[in-house]
Order: sequence, then C-alpha cells, then structure tokens
Amino acid sequence: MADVHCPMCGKPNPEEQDSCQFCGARLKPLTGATPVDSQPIRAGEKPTKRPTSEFEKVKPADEGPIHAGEEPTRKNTGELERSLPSWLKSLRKGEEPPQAESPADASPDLNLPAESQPTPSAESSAESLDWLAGLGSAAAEDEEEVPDWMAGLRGASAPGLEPEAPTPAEPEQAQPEQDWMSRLGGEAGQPPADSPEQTVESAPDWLSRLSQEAEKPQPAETAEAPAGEPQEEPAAPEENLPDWLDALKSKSTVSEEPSPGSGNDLPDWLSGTPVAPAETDAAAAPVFTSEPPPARDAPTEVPDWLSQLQSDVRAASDAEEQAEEFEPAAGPFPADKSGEPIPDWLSRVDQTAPPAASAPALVMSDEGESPVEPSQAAFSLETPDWLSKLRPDRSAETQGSPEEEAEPENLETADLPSWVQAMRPVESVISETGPSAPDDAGATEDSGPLAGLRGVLPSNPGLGTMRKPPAYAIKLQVSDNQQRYAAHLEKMVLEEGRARGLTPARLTSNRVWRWIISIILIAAVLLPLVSGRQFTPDMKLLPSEWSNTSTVLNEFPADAPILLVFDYDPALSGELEASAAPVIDHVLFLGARLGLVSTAPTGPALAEQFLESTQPYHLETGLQYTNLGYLAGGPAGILSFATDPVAAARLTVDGDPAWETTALQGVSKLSDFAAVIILTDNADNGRIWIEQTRAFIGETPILMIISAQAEPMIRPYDDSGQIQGMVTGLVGGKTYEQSYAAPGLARRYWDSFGLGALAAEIMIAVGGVLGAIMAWRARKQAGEEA
Amino acid sequence: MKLKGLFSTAVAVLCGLVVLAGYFVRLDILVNASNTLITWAILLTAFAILLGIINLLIVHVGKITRKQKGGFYSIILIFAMLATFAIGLLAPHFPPASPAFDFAFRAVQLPVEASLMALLAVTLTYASIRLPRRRLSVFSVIFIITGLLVLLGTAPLPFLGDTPLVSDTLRPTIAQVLAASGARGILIGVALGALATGLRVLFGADRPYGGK
Repeated sequence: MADVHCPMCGKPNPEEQDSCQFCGARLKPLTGATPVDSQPIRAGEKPTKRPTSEFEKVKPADEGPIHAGEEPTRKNTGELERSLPSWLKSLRKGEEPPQAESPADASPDLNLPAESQPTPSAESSAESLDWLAGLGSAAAEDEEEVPDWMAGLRGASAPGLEPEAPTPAEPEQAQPEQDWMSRLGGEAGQPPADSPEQTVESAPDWLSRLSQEAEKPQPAETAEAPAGEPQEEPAAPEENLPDWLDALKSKSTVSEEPSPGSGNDLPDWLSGTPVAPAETDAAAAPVFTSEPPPARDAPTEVPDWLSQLQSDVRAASDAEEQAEEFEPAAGPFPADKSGEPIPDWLSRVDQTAPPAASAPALVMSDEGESPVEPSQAAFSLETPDWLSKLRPDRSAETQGSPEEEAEPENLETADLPSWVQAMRPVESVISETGPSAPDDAGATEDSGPLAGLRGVLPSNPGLGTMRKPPAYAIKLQVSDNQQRYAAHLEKMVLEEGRARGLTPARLTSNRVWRWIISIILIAAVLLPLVSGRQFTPDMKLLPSEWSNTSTVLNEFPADAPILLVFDYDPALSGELEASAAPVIDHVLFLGARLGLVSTAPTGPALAEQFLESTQPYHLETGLQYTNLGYLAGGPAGILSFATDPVAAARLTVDGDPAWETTALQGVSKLSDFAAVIILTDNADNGRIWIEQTRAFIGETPILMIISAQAEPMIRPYDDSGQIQGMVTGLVGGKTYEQSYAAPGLARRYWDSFGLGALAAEIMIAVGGVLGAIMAWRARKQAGEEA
Repeated sequence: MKLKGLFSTAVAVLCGLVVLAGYFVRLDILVNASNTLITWAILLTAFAILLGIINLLIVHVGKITRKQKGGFYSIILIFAMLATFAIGLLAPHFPPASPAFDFAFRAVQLPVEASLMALLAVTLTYASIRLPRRRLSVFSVIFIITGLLVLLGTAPLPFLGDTPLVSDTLRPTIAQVLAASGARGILIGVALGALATGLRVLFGADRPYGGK
C-alpha cells in the first residue's frame, strides 16, 4: 500500500487516510484546482480577467492586509494545498520521503545575498522576482512550520550552491530565445559577465540543474559549455552525494560531474523528475518557459536571469550599504521575531525584490519599452496555482512593509495580468478605477508613525486655505458696567473677610412702639368717657339701609313674635350690642315677644347678657322672651330649625318646654314669626341663615344687624332683596338711635369711636409717611453703599 | 371598590338625594325623612363637639403627665373646663348654679375675648405704621390709603362730624361698590364650589366619608 505524505508534517500516512494521523491535516483536498487557474498564461497572450472569488475561497477568513506597525499573524497554508496545480501534485506524489533534512539545516548553506535594499538600479530584476519575493516574504514573515513539500522545495534549491560548478556562459553565448533572461539581467545595469563568479555562487543549482535536465535530449550540445568550468572550481567531495543523485548520474549520459552540494539541494521529487527523460522534457519545459525550448548548447549554464538575479542582489546590497543613511526606516522584514530559521534564499530573494504593490511583477503594457519585454517573456510561463494562491498573502504582508517607503516614484504604470490584479489590494484597485486624484494627494509619508502610508496627510500644510490668522487683542475688553460689577464683587469679597464691630442694640424695640400706640388709643377712647363731653356732633348723612329697617319694624303688629338670632362672639359683643340695642329697643317698645336662639355655644349667654345690659327697662316691665338656647349642627341645625323649629328646639335653656311659653305662643314654624332679626359678626353665619331659611320662612322679613367687618359680604343679599333691612356696626346703631331720638349706648360709644379712629388715622398716616421716608433713605443708602 | 365602600357610598348618595328632594318636593314622607336625616346630622355634630372637648382634655392631661413646657397652663385649662362643665350641667337643674354660670361667662369669657379684640386694634394700627417701612410698594401704599379713607369716612371727626367728600362719597363707594363687588365674586365662587362639591358627593366621585 502506497503512503501519502502529509503536506503539513511530511510524515507518511496510509493512502485511505483523509487526514494526517500525526498532525490532523487534510491529506486529500476537498476541491481541486480550478480550471481557470490551471490555464497557463503564455507569452504574447492577453491576460484575462478572472474572478477573484476562487481566490477568496482559498484565502483564510481572517486574512487581511497587514499595515505598518502590525504584527504578522501565523497563517495556515494547508488550505493552499488544494489549489496546487496538477503538475505539482503529480510531482509531489512521485517524490521520495524527505531524508530527514530540515529546512533549518539547509538554509545556512544558502549563498544568496543576505540583505538587499531595492534600489532604482535593481528595478527590472526586482520586477521579475516579485512573484518569488512574495513567496520568500511569506515564508520569512510567517515563520511557521514549513510543510515538507515546501521544505523539500527549498532544500532542493538551497544547498550546494557554492561548490557547484559555475556556468561561465556569457550572455552573448545564449540562444536568441534566452535573450529575455539576459536582457532581464541587463536592466539592472550590471552585465552578468562582470561577475560570473557571483552568479555561480548565488544561482540555485536546482534551477540550473533543471535547465540541464531540460536539455537532456541534446546531450552532445549541453556537454560543451560547462566543460572547463568545473575544473577551475574546487570539486565537491563525491561522498556527499546521496544515492538518489548517484542514480541520477547513472541515468544521465551527458551530465557533468555533479557539484558536491547539488545532490543535497535537489529534493527527491525534483530529482526524480529528470529520471524520465521523455517525460521530464515535457514536464519541465513548460514550467520555466512557454516558448520553444532554448538553445541546448549550454545545458549546464546557469540561466542568465538567475545570474542577473545574483548580480542584482549584489548591487542591491551595495546600494543598501550606501543608502543606509538615507533610508533609516528601511530594514529587513519584521518577521524574524519568532526566531525560527528562515531560509536565506527566500529572505534574500524577497528582500531583493521590490514590493509587489509598488512594482508589479508582470508588466503587460503594450507600449512598454524594450527592457520590459524580457520580463514579459519570463512571466509568460505558466504560473503555478499554489504560487498564485500565495501571492495575496505576500501582497498583503508587503503592503505595509517598510520597503514600500523606498519605492521609486518614477516607475511607470503597467498593466497587470488578471491573476496579479486579482491579488492587488482593494485600495489600489479603487484608486485606479476611481477618478484620478490630484498628484499631491498620493504623497507617501517617509518618516514618522505614518511612514509608508499614502495620502494620509494633505500635501499642503493645513486643512484649509492658507490664511493669516486674525489678530486678537490681548487687552480685555471690559465695559463700564462690567467694571462696576467687578468692583462691587471685589468690595463684597473684601467686606466678607473684614471683621465687623459689634453695634449696640437699639433700645427702641417694637414693644415700646406698641405700648405707645396702645396708650394713645386708650387715651383717645377714654377721654370722652372720662370727661363726659361730647366731642363729635351727630351724623348728618344717614345710611340708606336704615330707612328700610325702620320701615319693616314699624309695620309689625303689636304683640308679634320676633325671632332674635345671636350668632356672634363675645369679642364683638360691644359693637353688636351698641348696634342692636336701639333696634331691639324699638321692637320691644312695639310690644313684640322675643324668641332667642343661637348657633354659637356662647350665644344664649350673650343673649341674656344683652337683654340685661341694654334692655333693663323692658325686663322690669314684663318683657316676654324665651331663650331657646343653642342650635347644634351649624347649617344642619339652622336647616332643621327652619324646617321644624318645634322639633329642633324643644326646651329652653332652663329646661322648660319652649313652645308652650307665652313668648312663643302660636308659633310652630319659622314663618309664624313676624320677623327674624339676625345679629352676627360673621358673614358666613349670616349667609347660612339667609340661605337655609329662605325656603321655609315665607313672607317673614329678615333683618340683619351685623358687624362692620361683615358688611361687604352681607350687602349683596341686601341689595338683592333677600333681606329686608340691615344695620351695620356702630354707625348703623348710632343712626338708628339718632333717628329713634333716644341717646343710648351708641351715643356713648360714638365719641370714643370718633376720637379713637382719629388717633389711629393720625398714627397710621404719620407713621406710614415716616416709615416710607425711612425705607426710601435705607434704599438710597444701600444703593450708595453698593 | 369593596362592598364596604360601595355601601357607604350608596348611603351617602341616598341621604343627599332625600334631603335635596325635601327642598323641592314638599311631600310629608320626604320632609319627615329629610328632617330625620338632618336631626341625625345635628346629633353627630354635637357629639363631635363633645369628642373635641374630650380630645382637648386628653391632650392637656398628657402634657401634664409628660411635664412638658406650659403644663401649668394646661392645669388651669383643665380645671376651668371641668368647673364650667360641671356648673353648666347643674345650672338647669340647680338654680343656685345658674348665677355662677352667668358670672363665669360675663366676668371671664366676655372680657377676655373683648380685650383680645381691643389688642387687635392696637396691632393693626402698629402693622399699618410699619408696613411702608418694611415693604414699600405700590400695593402697600394703596392698602394704607384705602384704610385711612374708610376710617375717615366711617368715624366722625371731632368737632367736625362727617368728612365732606369722604363720608358721603368715598367711603360708600369703597364699602358698597368696590368691596361689595369683590364679595359678590367670592360668594358666587363659594356657591359654585358648594354646588360642585354636592354633586360630586351625590355622584360618588368624592367620598369624604371613606372608601376609594
């Protein structure tokens, strides 16, 4: 049973295994190479646009362009296996298992230039090696474990380059078909003949050997050219040759004595390839050229393009040393961090090559100059699919590499083949397809943190038009008000921090003034009472409501029951007694019977006190009155009394049946009273009596004897006719008394009332004016202090 | 709404409708029912006054027991209240107690309340004097001028009697036009408020008796 070698670890696995039993990598690709990718691009053919979707399928999902300063990430190239071309797969299947030769062992033997900086002199060579540069860069930067098939590829090319017999064939001796290689090297400005030894040293033998093997059908021609060269060079010991190389030598009839290192360089799968002469020609020739096979007279020669490559590398190394002071930012690839050995041939080749983004590998310009044509011929070879799959990685990684900074700006624009265009960054495609940007918009930063980035900063300093900044005055513009406010604020702050002295408290407190006012008022009130003199004349202007009250009272029949409501507080008893005394006196002189009731708890006592103090004469002559006492419930009590007075007040204050008394005989309801006289100092009480009794009182008139303070609220009822008469305060009582012509309590109070009111008016007026002046002065003083 | 709230609302609405109907429909059954309900309300109000007196007694007893500030005055208040209450209960049935009850009213309550009103006169005078100094504004000046005009128009001047143009014109205009106009507005507002409150109670929107 044939074993299948793992593409990742290189270990043999049974053929029926789908995945490696050692590393788990997939052994059988899920999909093969796309037919489109397998089509080679030959010289003279127009590249066709290919859909990039195929590339995207192979491209890892997390793959993205690496910008300047970013760390490269490890990439799994195992997925690229499925994109290998069929010819490469067939080669791999026929190869022998690797002979435990690790890439680390082979890489030190590489003799490629260690470092190189792209210089303008190496443009053409850099362009031609761009596709290899991507490969080398990917290997160098990723620093991941290289699969065996890749290691075998490198191992076949790396070792034994130095001892290999040089190929002294000069460019002039090459066949016309191989001029593209010589011209490719000639673009670098250094003819390969100048440094033949360098070419021999740096050219990979496996490539030269492949070319030799391609010439096997003409052994006579190929044996001539390198005949003398190996004699000059120190021959490598033959004991280093592996067996498979010995077998190769035995099969080769015209091959020279192999160089010591050539046997170690070639991998088995490559060494096995030339064993079959008929097949090797058919398989190897299309790999490197699509043109008819070149001249076979110098089969052992190193191809000119490879020798030119070495010369370019040398020249680039020299130029780098000279240009170090000019390109401080340029340096080797930043992928040497993991410490894994990097094949020098890959790193050198890659560093030699200019960045792919700046110098496209394939210049397909139709109007290209003559130096470009050889490169076109060189890259008309069939491009391996696996290399095309590697290209995006490389292009992405080299996009932000410092080497891009050294890109010469004078490179002409060239048409790219479709597979290269598909690998180009999106930004470059957009810049090409989009409207042409200004020339200065694509300026590449060559220093600083933005080094290598194009078009990040505007070419012109500043974002807008250059304008002289306006001149601003340094002096603070402060208005007069602002200065004044600032001065006030400063003064306030200073005063806050200043200690204030204690000012002696003024002795004239409010209490003194109150005593003074009280003494004046008391003196004014007592003066008429004490002196017995009349200071105020009688009223000449009688109130209008007085006549209505007098008219109602005069219409009472004799011995009519009158209901007196005492709904005032003891505090205002003086005013109301003086107001009601002349009216009640008038009623009693008419022979009326009185029923007393009150909605205030103190009302019955006030009623008794009122009669005793104001009507002593009538009491002595047999006044008939009945004190019904207190009506609880407020409005409800009034309503109840209005609805059914007998039920609401059954007993007198003495506990006797109220409605059986002489004063209330013939009265069973509210309308049976001849009149209802309400004495109140509260407008609400008067309003409730009017409202609650209106529906039950019938034609019985309602008279109101009220305090002066209740006048505004009761007067609307008088104006609307809901009450038939009203006596207001001491003035009303004095008026009624004056019209009744019997001086009484109102007269005694009248002088005191007049003098007291006058004293109060004078004090209020004088005090008010003085107070206003003092307040005005205080404000003025405060304003001045502020 | 719970059953308790529904029942209380129904009772309140029903009582209000019955009393209201007693105003407009003079049916005996409605008048008797209305009077009965009103009498119940009067009893509850009277009992509420008694509850207020008992609550006042408890508060002042508490102040005495906790020896709070003013406890001495609480002792006087409780003593006076209980004495007056006892005399009031005995007065209708014990004739010698009646003069004592009258004396307590005339010698204590009546002079005290009248004196407080007299102090109010002094306080108002003093406040009127201080008003321009404390708050000098247009409204303060208007207030003082109005007060002076009403006093001047109400009280007679010594040896002059009525003040011309003030007693017969300004004072009646202020009292019977300006003040009455404001009072009418207040009364209308009170009437509308009472109407709205009554309707809300009748419709169950307001439940001052409890329930949500």
